Amino acid sequence: MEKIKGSILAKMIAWILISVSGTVMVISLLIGALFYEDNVYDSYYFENKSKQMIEEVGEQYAVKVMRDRELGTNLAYFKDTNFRYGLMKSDDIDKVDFNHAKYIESNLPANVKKDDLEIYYMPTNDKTIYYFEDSIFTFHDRSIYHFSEESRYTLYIDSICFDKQKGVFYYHASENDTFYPIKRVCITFDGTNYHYSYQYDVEQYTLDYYEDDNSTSESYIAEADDMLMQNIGNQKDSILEILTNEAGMDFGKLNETAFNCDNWNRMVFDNIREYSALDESLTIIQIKDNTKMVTGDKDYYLDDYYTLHVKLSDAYENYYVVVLPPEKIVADFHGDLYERAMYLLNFVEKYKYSIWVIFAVSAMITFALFIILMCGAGYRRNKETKEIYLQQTFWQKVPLEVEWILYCAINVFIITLCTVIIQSNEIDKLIIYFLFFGLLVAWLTLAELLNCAVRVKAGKWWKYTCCYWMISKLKKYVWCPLRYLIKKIVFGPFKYIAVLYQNRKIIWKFWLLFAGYKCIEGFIVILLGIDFESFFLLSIFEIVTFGIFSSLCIIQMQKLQEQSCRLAKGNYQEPVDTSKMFSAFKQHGENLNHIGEGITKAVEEKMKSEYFKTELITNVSHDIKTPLTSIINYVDLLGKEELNNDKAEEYLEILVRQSTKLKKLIEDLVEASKASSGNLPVTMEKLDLHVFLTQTVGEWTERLEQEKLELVVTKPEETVYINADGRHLWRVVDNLLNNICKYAQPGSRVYISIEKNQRIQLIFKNISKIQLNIAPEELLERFVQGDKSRNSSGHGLGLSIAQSLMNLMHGDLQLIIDGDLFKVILSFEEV
Amino acid sequence: MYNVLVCDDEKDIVSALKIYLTAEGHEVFEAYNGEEALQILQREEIHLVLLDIMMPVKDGITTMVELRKFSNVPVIMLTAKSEDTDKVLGLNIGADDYVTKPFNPVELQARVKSQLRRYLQFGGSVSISNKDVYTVGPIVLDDLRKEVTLDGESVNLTKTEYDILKFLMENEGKVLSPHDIYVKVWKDTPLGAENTIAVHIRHLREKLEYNPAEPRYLKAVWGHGYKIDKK
Repeated sequence: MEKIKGSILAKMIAWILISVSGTVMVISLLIGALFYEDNVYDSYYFENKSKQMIEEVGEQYAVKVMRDRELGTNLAYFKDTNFRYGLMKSDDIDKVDFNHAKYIESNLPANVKKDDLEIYYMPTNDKTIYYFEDSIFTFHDRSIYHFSEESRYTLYIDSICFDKQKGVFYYHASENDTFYPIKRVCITFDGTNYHYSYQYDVEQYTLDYYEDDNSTSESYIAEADDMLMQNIGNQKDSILEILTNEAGMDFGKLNETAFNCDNWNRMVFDNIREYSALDESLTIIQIKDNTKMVTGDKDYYLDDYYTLHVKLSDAYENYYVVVLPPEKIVADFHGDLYERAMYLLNFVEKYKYSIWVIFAVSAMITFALFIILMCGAGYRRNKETKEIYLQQTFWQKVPLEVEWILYCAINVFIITLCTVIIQSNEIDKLIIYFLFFGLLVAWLTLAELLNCAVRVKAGKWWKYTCCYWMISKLKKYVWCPLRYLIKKIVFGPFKYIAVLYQNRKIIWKFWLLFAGYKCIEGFIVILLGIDFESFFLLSIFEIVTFGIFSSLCIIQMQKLQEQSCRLAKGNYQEPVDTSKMFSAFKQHGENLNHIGEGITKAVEEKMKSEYFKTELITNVSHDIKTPLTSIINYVDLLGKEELNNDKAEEYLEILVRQSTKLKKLIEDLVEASKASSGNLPVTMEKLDLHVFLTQTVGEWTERLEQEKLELVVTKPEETVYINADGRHLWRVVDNLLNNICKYAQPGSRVYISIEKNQRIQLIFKNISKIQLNIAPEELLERFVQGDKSRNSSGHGLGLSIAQSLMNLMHGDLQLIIDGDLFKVILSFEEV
Repeated sequence: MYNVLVCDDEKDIVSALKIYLTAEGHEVFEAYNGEEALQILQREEIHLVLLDIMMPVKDGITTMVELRKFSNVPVIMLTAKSEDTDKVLGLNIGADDYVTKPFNPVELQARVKSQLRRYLQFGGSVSISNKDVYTVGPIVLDDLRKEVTLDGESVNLTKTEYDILKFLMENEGKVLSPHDIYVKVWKDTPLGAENTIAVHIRHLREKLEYNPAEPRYLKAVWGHGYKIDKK
């Protein structure tokens, strides 16, 4: 399963397989449905169907007989078939004796019974075309067997006539002097349109419906609506009634009426009373005079050019094909339709259950493949690591809605294309088209489903939808500000109430004071009497008392503020005088004084401890140095003695070396502790970094050359000034260069550069001789060396001292180790 | 040859110093505290004193102050305190030189020699007031003879070294930038050749200083330049 997940080949195979199995599934389902529709599963199906098919084949062969009757090839053709027939012409088939009839062609056996025969009537004229296809699949399409092209002849209308007795309008064709009833007539009378249609059986107009000119609604005369029928029938049913309603009605007026070309066979007489008579050519006919009036043949219509198209009624020759259905179908005749039909039938009979098995199996396979594809969708395998990972392609990031719309649009396009093609193609090709387009749609659907599966698998599929985008924008630009506003408006006041509650003690005091003050005021007012003067005095009193009170408050606050400023500046000695302050301010002032005292104490203690520390270092170093002096001196003296002993001299050499190292170590240790405790005097001054670098490089040039190191110094054109203590900085650089001499790869280059970024940087770069698998932070610690074996001459204090000194000078030492590249950056404040 | 008083509370150091100084041919008097040292000084004719600072009974500073009341014998302080303040204090109350513990015997010998020579030959810190002779501590540059001596011993200098030293000694106490030195000595604009100055100064220091790592006279003022100075 894991292998399939990542393999593109497996997926391609699955695609092909699912296409095949899906097609099989659909086809088998369709066939099964067809079977079901055709009642294949009835117990008498086979018997009935075989009878029916024998009939149908007979019918088809009859069509072929008719088609090829003039070629004379039929007898030869049917010789090797089960088809027995006779072709004859007859006007009255009922009277024919089939054993002695006059056949045009026949291969019927002797003594046929009329009851056994199938007789097909084939009325034929020049226009009849027989279409026969040698295909068993045409077996239940009867309509195909013959058709004749419709033909009409045209007549020009010279006038419209009206039959006064019957009340019928006619087109009159002068060519054959025939009258054709106008099928629909609309008469406007009294603001109402009456729509009549001609009834051929009774040869009269009947009212279809009427409508008011004003209203658009139509009142149909439903057959069931007897009341309405009665009303209309009584009043306006007969067209004659309307037309002859007015006395002196002149039908000549109708001559003005144009044939309404938009409605071929519908005449509109728009309020006939408005027309004036100019011509008398609207012929009023009497029904008895005209024998050629056509009423029975209804198939005619008038076109735009006043031309009447009348259906041609040709004479048929009455052909009959007499077919003797075979009792037993002989299977020797290859290609015989009977045989094929039986074969098909047998096939159906044989496989009518199997088809469902095929369907079930293919459906299961399709479903399984579908599951596999869904599971594996989106996974790719990394070719190198063989790891399987989920890959989201562009299509999984397109908004889901857009994708669905696109999918639907493509499907609609395909289906439209399909319908267009179906309309313009033969049935045989259609199957292929159906298959092709069906597969296309199925593939698209499958792809879409897989796409959705990948989206779900990748998680957070909703992120790639328009809805999500819109909601998130809404949230960001609408909901968040709204929530903030609500929070402020609704919950804001509660906050203030809470604050008031928390400080209730002082607020309570304030209001008590305020109330007392107001009481005194009230008392004064009562004493003075309630009038304008007393209120004036009261307001003056109020201003004066309030002024005094607030000035006192302000003065005290100012004092407290000054005290806090003093504290902030580091002056802890002067306490603020709190004796004349209000209680709240007094407490605050005393607190400030306490802080001052506390800090003073802490500072004193700190200074004391620092002093002790320095003392300790100095004393200890003295105590160590004194014996060390003796050691060094006596070792030196020992060296001057004649030892005459190789081993002793070797040991002496070790003593010299180690005592020197010890001396250096103690000096550095003292310096390191001083530097880190800040017990070194620092004189910051403006230094020219160029000059400084020149001096240091000069000091170290020869040593570096000894170590076979090439020095590359880069510095900017302009002079760079920094703020530092020259001697300390020398010590820092001295330590660094010392390290470089000790640890740099001989023959490599050492880079020193001045760079001006936010701060001034002095950068040292070199390639390490030994492997530096150690963190830079660790290297900066005391007694830590890059060389773990501690075989080198250093003791691991140089960098620590350098860093402490840099910190003392408000600078910064940064160490970067990149492989064998050892890089130190000293940063300074620019002046 | 000369009488040297060694005063230190650590007997081993005193005896070690005695060995060195005796080897140089001096008579050595031993004292183990300030009190003893003063007694010996009053009793004997002493040409040089080596005085430790931290001692019991009477420490070096007090001894120094009392000593100076009756003698101007050269005193070299032996000190374990390497702070600058101690050195300055020692020199201010009348010490002529100092050596920090743990010291290098050779350096000490050289300093002893230097002090004795100056005290006995030049009669203390008397400088020769000649326009063409410049003196800074033990270093004397005689421009007429084109000769430089250290404690009276002639020192071999190259032409450039001599010119640089002369320029520095002419401006004793002043800080001279590498640029100035270059212009003066090479009579040319440096164009990035100032590095060579530092190299020459280093060589000068090696020739003129007892301990080149801690120069007494020829000092680098980092970030500014160089100067020659007595202290």
